Amino acid sequence: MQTELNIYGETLNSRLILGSALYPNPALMQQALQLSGCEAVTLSLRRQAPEQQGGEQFWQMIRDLKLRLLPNTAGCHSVQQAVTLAQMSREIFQTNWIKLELIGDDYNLQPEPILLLQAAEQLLADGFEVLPYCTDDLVLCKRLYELGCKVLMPWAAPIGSGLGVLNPYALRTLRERLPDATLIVDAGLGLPSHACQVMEMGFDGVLLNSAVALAKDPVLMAQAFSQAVSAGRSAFLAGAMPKQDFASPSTPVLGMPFWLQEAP
Amino acid sequence: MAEHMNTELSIWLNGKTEVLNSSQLSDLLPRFKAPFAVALNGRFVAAAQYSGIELKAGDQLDIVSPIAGG
Repeated sequence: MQTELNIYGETLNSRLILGSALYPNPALMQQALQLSGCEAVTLSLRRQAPEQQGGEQFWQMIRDLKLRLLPNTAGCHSVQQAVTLAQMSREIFQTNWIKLELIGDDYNLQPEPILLLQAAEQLLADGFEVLPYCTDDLVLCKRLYELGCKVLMPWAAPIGSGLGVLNPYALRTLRERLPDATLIVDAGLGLPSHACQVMEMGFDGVLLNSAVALAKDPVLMAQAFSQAVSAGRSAFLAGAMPKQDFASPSTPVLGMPFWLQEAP
Repeated sequence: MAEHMNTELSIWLNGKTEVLNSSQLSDLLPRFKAPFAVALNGRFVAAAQYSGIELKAGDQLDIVSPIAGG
C-alpha cells in the first residue's frame, strides 16, 4: 500500500516517475534516476540526425538503468501525429504503455481535450495502455476513464512552470469522483512539498521532470521528491485530523498550577 | 535491372529535401543507426513492411530514434 503503484496491472515499487530530459549532463540524469528509487522513466522519439552525437549514449544509459519505459507523444498537435508516434514508440521500446500528449495551445502547452479523447480511443482499440496527460477537468477525466484509460495524468500546472497545484479543488474532486482510477499528477510541480500535497490528497503517484532536472543539485532534489512522495502517501493512509477554526489545547488543562478555585 | 534503380527522385527526409538514387525504402535505411522507427507521409511503417515499400516523388519520410523526454 505504501509503495506499490499499479499501472495497467503492473506493479511499481515507487510512486515517483521521472522524466529523462533537461539534466545538465547524462551522468547526473543517471544518478538522479537511480537515487530517486523510481522504476519508470519517460522518454521520447525525434528525427534521427546522424551528424548529432549523443543519441546513442542516451539510449545506452537508459537501457543500463533497466527501468520501465514510458514513451510520450510530446509535441503532437493532431490525432494522426500522436497515433503514429505512439506506434513508432511501441515498436522501438517494446511496450504498450504510452503517455499520450496532445497539445492544444503553445503558450501553456494545455492538452487538447477533444483530440485527446479521439486519440485515446484509437490507441486503446489498437492495444495500447494509454496514460493520457490531461487537464484537471472532471468531465474530461471521466470520459477518458470510461473509454478505458485506467491511468489518468492530470496536470497540477503547465509543464515546466514549477507553480505547484493551481487548483486543489479540482484535483481533490478528481480523486473523490474517480476512486478506482490510477491518478498520477503530471506536470507543473516545482517543490517536494507540491508532490507531498497531492499525495496527501490520495493521488496514486507523481510524474515530474523539470523540478528535478533544473534544480541546482538534481540528484539531491530527486531524493527529496522521493521522500516527499513517500511522506505524502503515508499521510494519506494515516488519515489527517479534522480541521477546525478555533484553538484546542493539546496539554491537559486539568491540574494547571497557579489557578485557584473560588469558594463555593 | 529493376525499374527502381538509377531513377532519381526527390523526397522529404526528416524534413529536408533529399534526392535518392533508389526508390526502395530498404536501400535508404542502412545509413541510419538502430534503433529507429519509420513513418511515411505521417503513417507508421512497421519494420516488417520495409522491404515492400517503394518511395514516390514528394513522399515525406520520418525516421526517429530515442531521445530524452519528460
